[in-house]
Amino acid sequence: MGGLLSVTLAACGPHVEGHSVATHTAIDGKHIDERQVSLSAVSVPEGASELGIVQAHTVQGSIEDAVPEFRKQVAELGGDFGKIDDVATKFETETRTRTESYSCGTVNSPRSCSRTVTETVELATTRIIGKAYRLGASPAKTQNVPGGAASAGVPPANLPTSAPTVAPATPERASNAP
Amino acid sequence: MNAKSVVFFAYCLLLIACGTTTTHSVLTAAPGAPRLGEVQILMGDDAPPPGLTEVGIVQAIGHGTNADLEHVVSGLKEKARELGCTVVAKVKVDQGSSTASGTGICLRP
Repeated sequence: MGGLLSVTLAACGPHVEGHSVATHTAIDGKHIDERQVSLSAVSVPEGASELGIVQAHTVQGSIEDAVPEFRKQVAELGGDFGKIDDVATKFETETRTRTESYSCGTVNSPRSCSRTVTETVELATTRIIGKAYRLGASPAKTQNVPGGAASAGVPPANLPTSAPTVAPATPERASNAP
Repeated sequence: MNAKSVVFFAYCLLLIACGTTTTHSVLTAAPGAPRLGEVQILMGDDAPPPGLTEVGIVQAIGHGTNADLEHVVSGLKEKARELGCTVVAKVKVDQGSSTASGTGICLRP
């Protein structure tokens, strides 16, 4: 599995994956396009209702790779607003073996030889975790239904939206879900 | 060893000896105009000054000899200036053996 991931990383760039768990259900079941999802790392707008927990992570990528997946997971829960609670990076080392070829002949009789090379690489996994909300709607409560939404696509979405203002005196809003 | 090989190995050594720092951002609101000057770094739960506006999340990743706190914080400040921010709040730096990553929330007046 690790070897397959390494090959994937080498061939296709960063690996991105996302998951979500619904804690409440959006009352209207309206389809939300991920491009409609706005984000904040500071606050949740007044009147927003919590829908679930969302996480996205990327291996050998950056937040620019993980955030589109985060938006997608928010949209899949029926949310149009995502609050990013934490961004963290973890590192792990992995030993890879590969075969490489090199010239080993002379000018007059060129030859190609191969050798096995073992190298240790460090893989960085950046994870974003937060919550999905619907702005201005009351959700129906569910019993921690796993959303199970996992995917590996990275749609191009990075939409500047509203601009929350920092007000440290005001505590961060908790969910207004029943 | 011919001259080409010497140049090639010298280039490889240079690449190994020198580290790189890459910066990234995700906008959650409109950025300000790029600015010069000092950027305040607030670690962890340090409260940011009131009245600032969130611009987005910034990340700096240091590789090789740049995989340290100094280069990562410097990268965060550079990215913050590009986005017109005066403060990077909730800064967290994660350290690996050959990579270090720092993230924070970019705030502007």
